[in-house]
Amino acid sequence: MKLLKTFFRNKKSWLLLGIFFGIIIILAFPSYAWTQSNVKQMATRHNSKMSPVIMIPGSSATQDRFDDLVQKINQSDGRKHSLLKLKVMNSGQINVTGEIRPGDNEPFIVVGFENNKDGYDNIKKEAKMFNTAFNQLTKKYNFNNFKAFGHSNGGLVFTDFLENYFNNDQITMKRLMTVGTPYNFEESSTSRKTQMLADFIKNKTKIPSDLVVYSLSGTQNYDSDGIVPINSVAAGKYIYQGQAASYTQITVSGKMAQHSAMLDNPQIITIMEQYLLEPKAKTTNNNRSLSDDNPTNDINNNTNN
Amino acid sequence: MAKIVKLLTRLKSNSFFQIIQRTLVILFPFALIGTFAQVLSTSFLSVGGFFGSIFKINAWLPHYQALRILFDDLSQLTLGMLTIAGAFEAAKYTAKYYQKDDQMAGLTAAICYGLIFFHRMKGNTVTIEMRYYDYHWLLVGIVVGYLVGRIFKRHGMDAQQQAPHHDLILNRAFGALKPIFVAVFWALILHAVFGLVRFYRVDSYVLNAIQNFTNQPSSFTFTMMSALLTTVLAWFGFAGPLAFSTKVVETEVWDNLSYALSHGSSWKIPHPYSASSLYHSFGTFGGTGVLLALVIAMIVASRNRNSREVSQWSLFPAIFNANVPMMFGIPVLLNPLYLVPFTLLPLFNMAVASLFIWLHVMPPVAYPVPSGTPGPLIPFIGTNGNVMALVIGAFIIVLDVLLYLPFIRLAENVDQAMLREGGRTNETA
Repeated sequence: MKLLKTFFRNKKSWLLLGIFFGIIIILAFPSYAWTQSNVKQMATRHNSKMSPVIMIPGSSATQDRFDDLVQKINQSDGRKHSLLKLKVMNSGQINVTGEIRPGDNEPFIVVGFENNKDGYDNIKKEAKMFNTAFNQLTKKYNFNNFKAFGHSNGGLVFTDFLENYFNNDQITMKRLMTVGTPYNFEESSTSRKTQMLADFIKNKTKIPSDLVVYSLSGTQNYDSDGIVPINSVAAGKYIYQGQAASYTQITVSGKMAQHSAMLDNPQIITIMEQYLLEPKAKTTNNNRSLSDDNPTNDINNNTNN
Repeated sequence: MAKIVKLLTRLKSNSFFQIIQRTLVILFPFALIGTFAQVLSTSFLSVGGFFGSIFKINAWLPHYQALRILFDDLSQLTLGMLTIAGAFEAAKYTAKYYQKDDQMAGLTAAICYGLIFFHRMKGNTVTIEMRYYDYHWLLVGIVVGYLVGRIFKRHGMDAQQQAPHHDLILNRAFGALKPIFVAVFWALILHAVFGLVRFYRVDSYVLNAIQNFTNQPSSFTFTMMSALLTTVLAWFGFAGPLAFSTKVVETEVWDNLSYALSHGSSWKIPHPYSASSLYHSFGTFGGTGVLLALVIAMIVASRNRNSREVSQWSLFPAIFNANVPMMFGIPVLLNPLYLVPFTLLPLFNMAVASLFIWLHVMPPVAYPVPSGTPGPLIPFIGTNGNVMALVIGAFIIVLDVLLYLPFIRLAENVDQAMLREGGRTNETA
């Protein structure tokens, strides 16, 4: 008690405690502002029901590549997905056309590149540019999960993005569907691995283990879709199989199974509706928690194969 | 009271204890510089730090990352190498205590300690694990230094008082050869033993065991137990289980956050008494052991000028939860005088906070808090700006200051008792 008395009689103790709590109170105001805006942003993302489909076209194709495809899907499922198109210029500038209708929980977002040439070096550049565009999208639309769709080299860009850039514990890539993606470029034999495939295999552990992957290939004859060898598409298994939650290969054959014609193929559209998009009955019930162990609401995919 | 003072005085006069104290105090300036650099790097110059995020450092300070790396390097080479320096000093003091060649003993100990833990890891790249050289392992460093000092006592020449002269220095070097050989021989054996330990990954099993201790669903008792283990280990210098984050802890944090985000408040989160949220929000004001309270109490109430000065220097880092300067300067590390408040005050704080949560005076902490947030602001930010949490945080820190006061008095009484004894055993410096 004597201790307490001397402590409180000491002017210096009051001064020091005063200064200390003064600083704390002054700092409390910006802290309050920060936590409020931080929590608000996190809550918006966490409670967001939006789950867009982000699409990347193949080489030489523009952001308009999927216009017909989206139109056909809208006709077939009657859900009126909106279509937003981004074009990343070489300068880093991003041009936007189209818009997302308010209340649309499953819009299509296409990301195209001014520099859409073929080749591994360019894939790497595109993956970096896609990352910039992706970060901009997540800031603006605050979704907590999305689906990815890549045609041809677009699938390579997604793979590079997953392995080298995507590292976000608030946002999940639920499903990835690639169509005619040449994981081993033009090589028809998997024993000759291109540098790109070797790099993809080396960094495969970065791929989220809760991701559901579909790799679609077309066969015009018995070994290619006219452009990409079927073995090059199949090489995707060395990257995704055993790493992702599931990896499913689907082969489409027939007249419209040519590499570029596949996007008009009604069979592909059915497969997209069945496996990539949200099931119709469940669209109102996709409020997933951040720590969901089973990221897919799709009863049709074989998660435990 | 008189009995306790007598007991502690005897303990403090023990030669090994004296060596520990002197080693810690001489390392204080380096601990201080390293900690300042660390605070600047983590709290001010990183995007996830307190000042970094609240004042959006990345938006207006150019090259903030380069600056951060600069301060990071500085803290790596001070805090990160402190145990090597500790081995040097401990050996030096031990040798001096026995009137042996202290410089040689110090150098030998620093090299021996480095050698014991120096293993080139095979793998993709050649790397040397640095964590055995940072201040968490200081106790081991001091023991190694002490043993090297004892080797010099047994095999070394007596120290000579003459002015340094070329021949004499050489003479001194040859005289030290025998103890150096003996010390290096034992260090090599330990090096090999420890190499085997690492080869069979025993060290990671031990580390995992400590980490996994907290890897279970939280309850109030369990939270308190792991907090106690953490603070006791911290008193010895080691990092305890709550310094790591485990799978269950992460899941609980996510569950809490997820619930709070979907319901708009943290009042009814599923794990209100989880170890990580209680301990990190209320038990670490000013770092492990609530040392911010000790800093304030020292500045105000200590009669010892040195202690006051150490505390004034430690105030800035302590505000941002870096406690290393106090651990070394007072010293608190391995100091029986402060064992009780250092290990129990964090638990006291957690209990008080739990009581208020249980009474629904304030919500439990669930939201993310930037690293290096000043102690009393942690519950405030972690409850998304609940004013009661701020008030309770301030209330708890005042309680802690008052609770530290009697221990400061006790320490001073012990010091006086030692002075009265005339410092008979005190001739180590």
